[in-house]
Amino acid sequence: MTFVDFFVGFCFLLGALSAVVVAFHPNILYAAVALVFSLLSVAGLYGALGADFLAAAQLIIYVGGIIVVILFAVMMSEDVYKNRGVGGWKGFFAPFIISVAVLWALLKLVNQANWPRIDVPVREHTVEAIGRALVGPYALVFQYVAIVLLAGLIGAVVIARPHYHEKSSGSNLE
Amino acid sequence: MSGLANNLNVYLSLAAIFFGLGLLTALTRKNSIGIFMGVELMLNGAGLNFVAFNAFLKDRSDGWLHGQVFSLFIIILAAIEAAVALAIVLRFFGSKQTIDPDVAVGLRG
Amino acid sequence: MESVDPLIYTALWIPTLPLLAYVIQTAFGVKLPRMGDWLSTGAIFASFLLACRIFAAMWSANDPNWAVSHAWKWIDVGTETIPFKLIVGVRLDNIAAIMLLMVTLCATLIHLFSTGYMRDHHGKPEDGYRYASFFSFLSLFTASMLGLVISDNLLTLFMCWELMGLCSYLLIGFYRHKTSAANASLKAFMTTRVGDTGLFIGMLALFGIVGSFRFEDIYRAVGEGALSGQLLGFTAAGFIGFLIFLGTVGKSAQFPLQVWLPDAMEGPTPVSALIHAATMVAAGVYLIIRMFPILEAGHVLTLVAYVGATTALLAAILAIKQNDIKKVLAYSTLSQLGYMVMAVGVGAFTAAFFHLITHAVFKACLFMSSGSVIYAMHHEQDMRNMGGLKKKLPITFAAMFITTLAISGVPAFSGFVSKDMILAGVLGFGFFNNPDHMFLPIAAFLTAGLTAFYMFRLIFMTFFGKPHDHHHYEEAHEGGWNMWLPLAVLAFFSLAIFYTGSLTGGLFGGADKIFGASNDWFKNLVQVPRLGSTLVEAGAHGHETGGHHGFEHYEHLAHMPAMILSLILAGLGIGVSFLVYGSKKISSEKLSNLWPKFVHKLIDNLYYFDFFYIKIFIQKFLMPSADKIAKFDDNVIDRIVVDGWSDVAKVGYKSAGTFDDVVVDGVMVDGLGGGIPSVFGASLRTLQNGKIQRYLLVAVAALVVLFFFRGIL
Repeated sequence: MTFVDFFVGFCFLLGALSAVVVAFHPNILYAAVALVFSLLSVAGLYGALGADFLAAAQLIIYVGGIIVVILFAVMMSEDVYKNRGVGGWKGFFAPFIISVAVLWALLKLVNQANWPRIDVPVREHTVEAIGRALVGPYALVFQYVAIVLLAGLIGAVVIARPHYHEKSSGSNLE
Repeated sequence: MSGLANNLNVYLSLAAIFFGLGLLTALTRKNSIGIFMGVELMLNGAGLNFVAFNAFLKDRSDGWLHGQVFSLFIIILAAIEAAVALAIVLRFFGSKQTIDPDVAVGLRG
Repeated sequence: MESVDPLIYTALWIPTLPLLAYVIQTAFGVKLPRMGDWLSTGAIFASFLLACRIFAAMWSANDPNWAVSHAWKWIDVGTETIPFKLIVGVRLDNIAAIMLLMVTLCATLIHLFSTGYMRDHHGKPEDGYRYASFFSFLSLFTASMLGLVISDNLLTLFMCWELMGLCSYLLIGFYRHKTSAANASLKAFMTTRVGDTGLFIGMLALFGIVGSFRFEDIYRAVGEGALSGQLLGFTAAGFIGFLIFLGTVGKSAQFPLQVWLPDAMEGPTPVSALIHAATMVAAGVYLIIRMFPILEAGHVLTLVAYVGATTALLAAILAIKQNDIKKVLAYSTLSQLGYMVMAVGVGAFTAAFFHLITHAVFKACLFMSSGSVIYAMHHEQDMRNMGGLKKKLPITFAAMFITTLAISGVPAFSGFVSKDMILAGVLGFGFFNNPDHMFLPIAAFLTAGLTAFYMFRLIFMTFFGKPHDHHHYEEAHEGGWNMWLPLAVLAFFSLAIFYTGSLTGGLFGGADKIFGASNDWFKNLVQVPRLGSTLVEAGAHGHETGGHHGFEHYEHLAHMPAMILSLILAGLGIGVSFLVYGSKKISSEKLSNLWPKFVHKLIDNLYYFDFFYIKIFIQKFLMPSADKIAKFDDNVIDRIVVDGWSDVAKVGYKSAGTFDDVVVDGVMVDGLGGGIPSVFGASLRTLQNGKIQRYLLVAVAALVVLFFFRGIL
């Protein structure tokens, strides 16, 4: 039991528990905070797997960016303390059965297979390798993602812009 | 042999748990943001899967970090998704004064 | 990279040009001068020129096996053990080249005609600039039809097929302020969807077995007997062939899904000419012509023949009693499509395709002539209010008269030659070859006589006699050149000389052959597709005699009697028609009183098909079962499993009480369209509640079911 083993086990437990909280906690705000911890655990596992760049990206983009956006949306849109976030148990039943079935099938698949084992994941700096991949075999995909990002941002602005569809009637925007 | 760090099952199991619970979240939350959080959880499970396989199948990948690149793309797309989702939620809240997804039944046809 | 025949790129431009016109027209149509009608028309005319080039290449090759094809890899994923590879491409052979020429010619002329006919919509803002969108829809429609023709595979064919379905919906419902037009468009869309579902399932089953959508691979697989296995208790070829034929039944409006085509006459008349005569309904026949080997290997040709014969006869009977000039033509289209399907069914492959082409030309002309009449009469469609228009509309009259001669099967006109081939094939099949199937020739010859009768009835009622509405009559006049030129061109191409005789050596060198139609280029160039190295065994569909030669022998034997019989019947039909409606020697009331009451009632109610579908199938069967399911949900499922279903089902059922025919039609097809008994249709309807989480739940539930069946769960 090395430190890395301990770290991986800790991340596993943290991730699993906080994912349970995300799924089951009635208060959306608590769930969002729990999501932070599950994303943190993923970042930790990325580190343990030798993906240092991804771990950093996960921290910065997910934990730093997306979670803030989510919390922001939660705060802005609804009275978070009044809304319990989940419906009654009747609405919960069928999704629960189905999700557990999927989860069980995935776990069974994962643990059936005879996966290769390595001693310890090799740790090295991956920034250069990823950079080479992005301008090498993935150059086209990289460009494509950039265009999608641009389109998505423009779309988000257009959607969120108030009264954009009433601009012909001379709203207060002009 | 023993140990958690060099056992692929650990990573894949956590990815499966993320996916399953994320699915449950997305299916049950009566709140658009909740659905969005579930989707994020599922995406993270998928990303973890990619990176784990990348680390364990390194000798078969000709030196390219395919899994990590895919994971990176997932993160980028999740960021886009977050931006668009927030915009939609705000818009929806602006017109309906709620973000309960069951109110959005325009697809019923 | 292997070199690509330049003809392939020519072919690719043919659908691309109208498609570009559609895009530009949609985006900027309103801002263009004349709202862009010249753009659509010009694009399709350019396509026509390109099609001419391809036709010329085919002509100079003069080889029944001429084919140019090129394919591109679209998707290639999967492993060696589980391959998943999609290869799509362009294939030009004799059939495709002739089709391209026909479609582009008809479409060009119809576009031109529309610039005159649709002038009422010219740039009126209160019309929502619909003139521009009319041309954009026409362009999209033409592009998809042309894409369908050049496809070398079922996948892109199906895509274009569905695009055409969409365009027909848009165009039939073009006068959207009219409830009847809106209903008709929905009815057309939904009814064809029933057949499309079958086609789609058949396609997927075929892909599962063959592993490719390309015609070549499919033919080869059929030739190697890859489809002789079992599939759900049927032979694979039979199962797939039947499902593919369902697509034709829907698209070409065959019995029992023929209900949509007459209603589709609610669309503007150029649309009727384009969609319901020359192209879209022809696509259905084109499909079974392409898929002929499968239908044959699957022993479904007899079914095909019976469906066609039934359609032909029933529609011809209905056409007699119609008074709306377009309805007559609609039923005659149905009837002629039945002819083609029947011809495919009896193995008269060449004849079916021949009639497809000739019919498209003269029917487009007939529809446009009727459009010209309607235009001149200020949108009066009832023939009883017409009459005596011969003097007022001389060009229209001439065109319509020529094409009526063609459709009636008068010698020296195109319809005679193609119809004669079909009749010979049917007679050879039913009389000499399989006496069990006597119904087929009887229906075919009866239809031939009836066709001549009702078409001349139309001519006599419209153009001869005394005008009934003097106000309209005095004002009636020909449209501009853009309205009469298309008529003249198409009427010109209704002459038999273009389809028979040898055009290469001496234009009139084969004058004798016009009547016999024995040595025409069409027959030489259009032949049953080859399966690998051997020809399809044409007679092998469940009948004792085998071999294509056997069929040809009988066809040859039947040729003379068929020709004589069809001439007699056509003459009889024309003669009776003249006596009744021309010289009025026989009163039409007396003629109609010959038949018992119930026959009239049957015809007036269109054989109760609509009644059955709407009143019985939907309202008595489908709606109550929806109610039962709602109750079941309420009492049993709901309390335990799902929340919210019952409310939705209840609301759905309550509103069902006030559903008008449109929605009723839609639901009917929801139930049928799934290929599922109506009970399932109704329960699926309660799933369709618009809640995004319910959709996701259903999708994931399907995944779980898949897990279960794969033994993972």
